[in-house]
Amino acid sequence: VKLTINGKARTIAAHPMARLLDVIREDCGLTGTKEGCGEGECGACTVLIDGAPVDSCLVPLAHAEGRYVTTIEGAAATRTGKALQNAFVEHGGAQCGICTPGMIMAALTLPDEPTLDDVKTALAGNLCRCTGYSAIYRAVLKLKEAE
Amino acid sequence: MIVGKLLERCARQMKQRLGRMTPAQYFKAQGPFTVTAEYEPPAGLAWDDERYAGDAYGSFAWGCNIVELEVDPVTFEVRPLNVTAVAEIGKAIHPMMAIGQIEGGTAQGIGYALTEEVVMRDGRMANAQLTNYIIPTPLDAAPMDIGILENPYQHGPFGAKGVGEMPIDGPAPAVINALRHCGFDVRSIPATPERLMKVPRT
Repeated sequence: VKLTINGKARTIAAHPMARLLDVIREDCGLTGTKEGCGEGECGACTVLIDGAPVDSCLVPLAHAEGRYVTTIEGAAATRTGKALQNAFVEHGGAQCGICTPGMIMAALTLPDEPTLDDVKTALAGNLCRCTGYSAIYRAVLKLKEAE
Repeated sequence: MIVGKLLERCARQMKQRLGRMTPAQYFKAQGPFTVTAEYEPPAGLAWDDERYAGDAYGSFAWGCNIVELEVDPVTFEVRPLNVTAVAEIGKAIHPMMAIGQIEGGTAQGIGYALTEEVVMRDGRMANAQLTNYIIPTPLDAAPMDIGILENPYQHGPFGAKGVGEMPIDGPAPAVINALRHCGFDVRSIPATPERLMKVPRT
């Protein structure tokens, strides 16, 4: 299967029904993407496919054929992605850290000047058990304000 | 307050042992070392196990919660509008992370009050998935006001008592009291719509 991950063209020799999550972590060694529930509820494994957030635990590799996948490693190499990571650190948006890569990937889809409701809606598919979400909202909103 | 103080004492011993060296310099010159500290109850703390009376703990942390909520009279869905949590934790060593602990615990407590139902079947949890054990999502979590009070405990690290466990205790009683204030005689949690529609009305 041929696809582009973080701007790099790759040919993956794996079963077409392999979970995109496993391909990213094991075949590509990009372990920033985390597995939470493995059943599409928690959003920890969120990556972007052609810019749209998906749960990579639910996407078979074959569905990613010819598409552009961005993981947290790819996001970290961009200015906005790096700034989001720093904002999460600065505002305590990460505690145990398992949800954090998925939260950041989902937050990347926000429009400029988002309201609190925009942030809640963008992150609605991402569960966090540690923070009660407030510190995550503060991180995302403060960053967007600063931008 | 016990383990934290032991850590503080160990760190101080370690620092003394290092002298003017950095840990890396010490490790290179002398190799690894171990420091040990053991808990001793502070003087004046007396507990009678026979009569089960006296000072069970050296100190207590305190918490207070206020919950404002609305109940949909048709669907019986409960929506917390605002949650206030005030915690007296001795000393907030890292205020940002202490607030994070209180916010997280409070959100878990609200989940515990409204949606999180453990179903046991044949000695096992029958709903051990996020699909059927429902925790708050970003759209469910209530806005929170957090307050920290500090009354340092002299035997805790830098005066701290602890913050990780306490914030989950108060929110569910506060939610249930608010529902009783609305006229729902709730006697168990979680206060799911299914449960709420069946309870006596006062």
